[in-house]
Amino acid sequence: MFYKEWIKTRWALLLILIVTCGYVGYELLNFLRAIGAMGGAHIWIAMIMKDEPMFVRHLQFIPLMAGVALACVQFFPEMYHKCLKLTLHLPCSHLRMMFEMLGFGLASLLVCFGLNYLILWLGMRPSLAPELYGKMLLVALPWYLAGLAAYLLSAWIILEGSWARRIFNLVVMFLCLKVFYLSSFPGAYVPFLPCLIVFVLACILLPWISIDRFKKGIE
Amino acid sequence: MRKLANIILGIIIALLVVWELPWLYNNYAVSFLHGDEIGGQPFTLYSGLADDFIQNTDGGQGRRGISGRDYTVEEADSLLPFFWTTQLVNAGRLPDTIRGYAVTPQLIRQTNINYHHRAYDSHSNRPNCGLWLLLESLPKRVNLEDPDDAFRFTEDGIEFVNMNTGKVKPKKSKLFTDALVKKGFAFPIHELDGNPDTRKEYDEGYLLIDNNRRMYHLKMTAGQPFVKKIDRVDETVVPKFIFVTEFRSRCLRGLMTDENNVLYVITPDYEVKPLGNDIHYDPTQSNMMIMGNMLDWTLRITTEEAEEFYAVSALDYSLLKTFIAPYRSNPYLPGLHFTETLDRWVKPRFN
Repeated sequence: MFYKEWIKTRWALLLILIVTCGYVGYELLNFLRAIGAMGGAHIWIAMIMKDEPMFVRHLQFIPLMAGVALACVQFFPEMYHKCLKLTLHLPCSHLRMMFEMLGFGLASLLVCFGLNYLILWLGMRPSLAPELYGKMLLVALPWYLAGLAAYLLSAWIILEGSWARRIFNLVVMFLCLKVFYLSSFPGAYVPFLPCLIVFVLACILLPWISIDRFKKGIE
Repeated sequence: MRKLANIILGIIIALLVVWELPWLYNNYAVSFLHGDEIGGQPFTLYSGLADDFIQNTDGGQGRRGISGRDYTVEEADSLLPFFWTTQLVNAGRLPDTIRGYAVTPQLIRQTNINYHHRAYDSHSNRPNCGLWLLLESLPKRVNLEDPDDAFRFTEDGIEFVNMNTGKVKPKKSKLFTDALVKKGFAFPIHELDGNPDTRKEYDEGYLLIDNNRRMYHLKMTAGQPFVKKIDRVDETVVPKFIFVTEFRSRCLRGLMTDENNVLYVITPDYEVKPLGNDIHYDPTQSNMMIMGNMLDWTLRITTEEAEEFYAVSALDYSLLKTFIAPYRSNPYLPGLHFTETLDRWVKPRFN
């Protein structure tokens, strides 16, 4: 199953990796250029005094787009070429197959997002105090969780057979993802992060509703 | 598994409904249905000459006292000479003396005060990165300058970090830690407030509350620490929040609230005195505005229940007049919210 998913998504994953890391690199270049032009002290003062997501703000919707893109690449062919029907005829547990498909996607996104975080951390660590780069990494955390949630909710929508239900699911997805973008105040989400993580974990089960309806032939 | 998935979807949809529907109603329907009933008091200022709170009416075109008396705009200008100074100067109506005190436009500008504190400014109502900036209070040039280091409070001291290299300055850290310890400061810190903006006229550094709930004043003068212990008004008053004011007139060091939310002033000679007669202010739940002059101050404290106006004497901090305007019945629909105007946190709350 993992190999099948890898064959299907490898080029898309490479593109997602290049785009997300490219954006992170762009933010880091801006950061290093600002340090070079104005000096470290000036950047520290701006970061202490301003409650803004400095040097990560362009990343805001990148993880979300990455999650939606991966779900499209992974599950559109399943529906369009009716591969899902074949997959569901394999002599394996349907639930396990779904978890393996979603697990592959989630693991790929986690590797990609983890790499983004590693690049950000390595780039900012030499020039900033832990309090300051921690502030930037915390700002971006809900956005990356939104990326994971967007992947699972997109899978839920794409695997749904009925268009009316797809539109309903799309509205639910939009409102759910809105929760991840209510504030860009650094650290504002800290008390809420455990709830968001639980929400993302709970979303793993939603595609099962679509698959179950698909099995029943609801279109 | 299908059942569990459907239960999760049901919970998500229920949460979205109790979040979005009240939001739609409160943001769009309330102003349409209750347009005139909501909204706070108009701009209100205490006039010491009339001993009355004077409010703007008719969209700023009229003036009315809370005593019920109507004033013309010109009368109100004369009754609030410290606020409408420029208007009176232009009209050639600014008196030489007000209530026996000689005044000039320059003196009025010098002694007028304006202070705001919003609930979301309180440290418990917002995330803090834990790094602070300490300016040099006696700069070589006229203007205040940005420092080249930032500081953090640790469990047992204060630590200065060079902002260009990211390395701790051990000598300066020890110098300031020793100065604080010498005055009896107990680490870790409980609360602090300061304003490291260089565009102000002078710097008062930070007001601190230590782990034993004692107040201290810390600033840097000529590179050396200046630490002053501030005595409590009495031992039963336990400081909770402290605020640096840095008014142009230097009439105060700062403000302080205690465990019972009673508001105090810290005078220039470090005396702590209650402001008004037992004025209560919870900095985490209400907003406060002070507009004042050399003779009296108007305090507006906005709580969830009412808008409270207090007039206090700038000379002895005694209460002159009170006006409390409770809000009318709350037309807002309760629901799930993730953000509040009182704090900066994103978290679920039902109200």
